[in-house]
Amino acid sequence: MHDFRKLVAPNRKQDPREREIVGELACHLEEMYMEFRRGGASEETAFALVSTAGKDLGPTIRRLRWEGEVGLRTWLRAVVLPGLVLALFYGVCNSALGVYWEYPTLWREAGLVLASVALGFCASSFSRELGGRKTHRLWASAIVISFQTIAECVMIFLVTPVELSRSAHYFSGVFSACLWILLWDVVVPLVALIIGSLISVSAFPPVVRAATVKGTAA
Amino acid sequence: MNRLDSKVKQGSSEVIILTLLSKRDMHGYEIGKQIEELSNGVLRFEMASLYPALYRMLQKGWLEAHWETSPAGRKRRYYRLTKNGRRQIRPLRRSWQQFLGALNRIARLQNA
Repeated sequence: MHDFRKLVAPNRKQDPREREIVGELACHLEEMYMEFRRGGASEETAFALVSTAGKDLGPTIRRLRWEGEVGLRTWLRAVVLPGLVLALFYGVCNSALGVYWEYPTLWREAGLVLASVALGFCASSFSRELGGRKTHRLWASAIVISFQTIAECVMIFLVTPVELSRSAHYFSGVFSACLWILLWDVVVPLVALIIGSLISVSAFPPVVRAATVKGTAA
Repeated sequence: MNRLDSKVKQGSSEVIILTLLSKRDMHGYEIGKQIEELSNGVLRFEMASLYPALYRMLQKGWLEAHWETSPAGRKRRYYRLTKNGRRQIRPLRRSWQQFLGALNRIARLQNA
């Protein structure tokens, strides 16, 4: 008898959950094989037909694994991972714009907004590929700006008060500058990221595959 | 339109699978085969569409699964309808009848 497990998942390390999924899909192929044989197909022909049906089941196995996952693991996979990967790109874009325009200008801010829309779109699409639903996709885009937000908050709420305690007469000017920084470096990019994410959500709805009707998707 | 499309696809597979499993327990291949036979070959569920639908319904608590060994010694994973799943059949059927009725009415209007 052929090893249908190898056909479903060749060269894959499997944990118990994945072993169960692979076992079930292998049973499906075995049934298919036996039906071809009952229909009069030779052993080679039947196996060749089943091999075609069992080709490229990797994405299906991944989806089935994700279907059973709940809570923290889903968030780590579909929110934190895409968010942090794109956060690195955000850092690169921000630094590059900072190098080109040393001081904040309208062009620099416009560049950052455009980059944020694009990165929000990418984070949301990446999250979708990793099985993320709409909420996950929006959060993944928001996480892109997490490093920047943490850095700004540390500067504004920890470093600045310490500095102010040394020279209190600058208080009013510093306070409005802090609000301005928070607005342009956190709030505006965050809104742009969410807009990018919403564009992705409307352009690429969740992956749902269903029955085929005479060869075309239902 | 895309959102409606994906909801329709998901809903169609759910109502079909629930209806089949309300008669008896079946394994994945059997469910796919039954759908193909009962629809005279019009509907076909590939592995990539059938199993995600089954797992989604397991997750929702509409189905439960168990492994069984046949007299021939083959292990198969059978799906069974839960009480919660059985409760879903009627409302799902009703909404599908409404949807198909609406489609029919529009098609007749257009043909008139």
